[in-house]
Amino acid sequence: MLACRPVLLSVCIPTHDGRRAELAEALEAITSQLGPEHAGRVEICVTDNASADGTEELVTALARAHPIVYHRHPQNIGPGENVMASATLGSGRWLWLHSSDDTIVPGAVDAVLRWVESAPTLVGLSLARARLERGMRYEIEPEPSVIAPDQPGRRQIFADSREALAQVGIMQTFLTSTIVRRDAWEQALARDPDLPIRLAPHFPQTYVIGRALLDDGGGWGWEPRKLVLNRTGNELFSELGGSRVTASVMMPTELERLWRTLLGPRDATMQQLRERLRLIWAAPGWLDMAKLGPAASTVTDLQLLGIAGPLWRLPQFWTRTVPRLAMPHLVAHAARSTRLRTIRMPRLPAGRADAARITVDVPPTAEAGAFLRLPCTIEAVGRAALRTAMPAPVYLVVAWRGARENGRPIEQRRALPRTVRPGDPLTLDVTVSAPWTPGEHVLTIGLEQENGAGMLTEHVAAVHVIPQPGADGSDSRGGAPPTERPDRDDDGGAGGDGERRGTLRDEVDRAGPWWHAIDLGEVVTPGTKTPAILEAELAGLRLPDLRGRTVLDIGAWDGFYSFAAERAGASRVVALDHLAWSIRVPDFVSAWSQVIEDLPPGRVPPDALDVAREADGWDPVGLPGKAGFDLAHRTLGSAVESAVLDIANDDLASLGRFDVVLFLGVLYHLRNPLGALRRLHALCDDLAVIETEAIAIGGHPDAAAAQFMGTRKRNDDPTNWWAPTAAGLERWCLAAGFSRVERVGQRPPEPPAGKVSPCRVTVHAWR
Amino acid sequence: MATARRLRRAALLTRLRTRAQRRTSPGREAERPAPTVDLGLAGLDSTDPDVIVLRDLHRSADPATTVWRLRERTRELAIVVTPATEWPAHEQRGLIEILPGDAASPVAWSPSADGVRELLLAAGFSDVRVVVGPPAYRPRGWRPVHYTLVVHARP
Repeated sequence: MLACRPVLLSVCIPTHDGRRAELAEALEAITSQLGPEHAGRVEICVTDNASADGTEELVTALARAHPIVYHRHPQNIGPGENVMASATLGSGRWLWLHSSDDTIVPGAVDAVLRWVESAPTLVGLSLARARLERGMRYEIEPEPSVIAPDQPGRRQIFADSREALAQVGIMQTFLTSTIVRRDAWEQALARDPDLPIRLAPHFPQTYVIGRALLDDGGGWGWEPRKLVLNRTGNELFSELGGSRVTASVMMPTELERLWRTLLGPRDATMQQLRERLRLIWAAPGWLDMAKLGPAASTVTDLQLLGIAGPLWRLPQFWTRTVPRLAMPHLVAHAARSTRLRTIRMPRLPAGRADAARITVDVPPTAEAGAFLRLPCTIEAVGRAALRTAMPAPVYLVVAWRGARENGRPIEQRRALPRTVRPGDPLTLDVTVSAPWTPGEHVLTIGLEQENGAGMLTEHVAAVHVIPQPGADGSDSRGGAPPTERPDRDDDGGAGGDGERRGTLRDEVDRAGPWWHAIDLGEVVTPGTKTPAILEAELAGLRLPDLRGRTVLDIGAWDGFYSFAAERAGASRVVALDHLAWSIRVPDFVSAWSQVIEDLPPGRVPPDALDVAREADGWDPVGLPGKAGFDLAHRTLGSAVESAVLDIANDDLASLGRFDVVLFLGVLYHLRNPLGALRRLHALCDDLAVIETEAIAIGGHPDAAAAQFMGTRKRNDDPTNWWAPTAAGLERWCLAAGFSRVERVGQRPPEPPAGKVSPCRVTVHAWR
Repeated sequence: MATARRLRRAALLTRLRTRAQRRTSPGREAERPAPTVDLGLAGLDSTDPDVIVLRDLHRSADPATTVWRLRERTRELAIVVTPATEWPAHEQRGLIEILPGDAASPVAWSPSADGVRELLLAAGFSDVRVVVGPPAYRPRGWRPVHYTLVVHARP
């Protein structure tokens, strides 16, 4: 009865022995999205490759409540045959080829239905996907960008079939990400039913889709939302020869063969597809990993040569891949070991003076301690590129010449995020803080090549540093004044407006120093974090819709994020802080300097929080550091509540629980970060937004670790204790009890092996 | 039509069942994060030993505070024995690996030798010596090396 009825969408799931638990998750994800409105429109077709793990009982039980069609093969017919069989089982006008170990996000079924209803002439569409670790608890590093189309963030339809193949050909190899129109599929298959399996036993569906696309000409869609949750680490590698190395040769070989059959060997689209295969399976990073891995041997070297089969027609293969491919693994090991053991190389292989050019706009004036955002454009001059790794990596060095803090020069080094080739300049935003000593300072921004070449180029600029308003108790009007709103008409105090503005300006001066620049209507407070920086940070948090929700802002300080949450429509906002409100920053800095001065040689300084508590300016009742928050609160007429509590030690139960908790720039100041995250978890009802100082470890991009800054403090800030990696922060969140963690914002940098890059990381952690 | 009715009825039943399950489920309060081990070291007060051996640093929920307490209790010598992880080319970074644990096993840490050294120095020990450190540099690859670390620390 069911097979006779025309259905709109058949979700075709081929499964096999050992996949029962994963299949249950996949079916749960789909069936939980089906309601009465989907009756007769969506069906699930499961073909079982003779499993003996209870799959039949599972599916049969579910089929009593859901529209599931099930077929069990009496014997294992192979993975490719099983995929093809699943497509014949149902009757839907569209086939959603779904892997039995992936799942989909809530709303994915409706999103697909909207696609196929709005564009019924398409041959099919591909869905973007998120890669999750084997336990499906958190997202791991994204896939290489060449897997997705050139503009992966844009919803688009490729009307030209060859263009579609070139753009999403790789995506069409993934089950769960592929939806295809049934009649186009069947017509393509009818041309030679045995050819797909013969050509590509592991990817027959890719051949049929390619054939359908070329024959039908209806175009192909691309859905940029990550509707698919892909489980990594499945059995594909064991099916493809038993190891990653053999799989890395067999997969491109098979795919190149089937696309060559469709397009011809010298077709331009074919070359584009080959280039994508090269960038995935012959990428320098992958070849290094294979040759330097603990299991590498001469057999590995020989196996990797097999990649020449599908790629030899590409000129780039000979120029870029072959040199690395031809290097025996022992030579690669020797080179790597030498690089890691040698501190300075005696000769510079690629040293080039005047080989680079740097352009940067430096403001002539800056406030003491203020952050300066410097957009730097870096160009390679001549023929040689500025490299990020061996043999001579290049670093961007930003330094205040002659200025010192805590006895050390103020300098920061950053690895270049990518190789800068001639004709391909790199624009990098560098944020530096101005020296605390007012006066004339010289800022140098240069490119330094490691291993002896020294400075390649240098940009030198003079900056006049002016004191912060009211920072030292002097006449605040001698320093930088609070910024006035440019859209206000300041006519020098004609009547009450000018007078009120003048009064507010004086109050802002007295309440400083400010950390946040907050727009008070008449005046913008002179925060160390400028409006531009705060706006960029706020956007980077990717906050959810806060309308009607309760928000807790931990570490609120001047309250910029609390007021932003209130503006966004939150029903209740609580700003919580302790240290920054109980002491003014200059008092803390002077107390700490005194402690360092009095410290006996060889002794380690005490905990900065203890120093703050012992300082003269410590006043947890009068709250001298809260003056800025209070002024902004009063001026804005805000209803934000404030709570003076220590997240690390105080009892927070009286606050209740909050829909959204902001935990921004606090974690790395705490000596017990895991304990703080557990408290955060207890306060959070739905989502915690966690932002922290972090590190990226060169050569170990997936390391889940944290750097403990016991005696070697980052940025000379004595309150810094921990800097986790992005993966480490995710693990902390999971250990604290959050069920799901997602990284947001910029991707962490990838420093060269042996180096560490500081960075900031933001995650969304769901309860 | 009959099939459609049957499917509608099945979907309705599923929805009602799900709602009922949600109502009767123990709720979010019942969720528990991974268990941790809290090393109080309080029992050491009564014994007042000259030498303290700490073997469970990697299982401590708060390794920094544990080491701070260890410093308070230590008169002569503290010996820290712990599983450790070393990342080749990052031996001087003070890194500590994070193992999130699950319902069956508690949260754990796996520090590098420099990580333990940093913890002990920050806690106030002045003489920290690695007695059993990482194995000799592995000539192949740069994967993390796991081993058992022994450190002696004196106030």
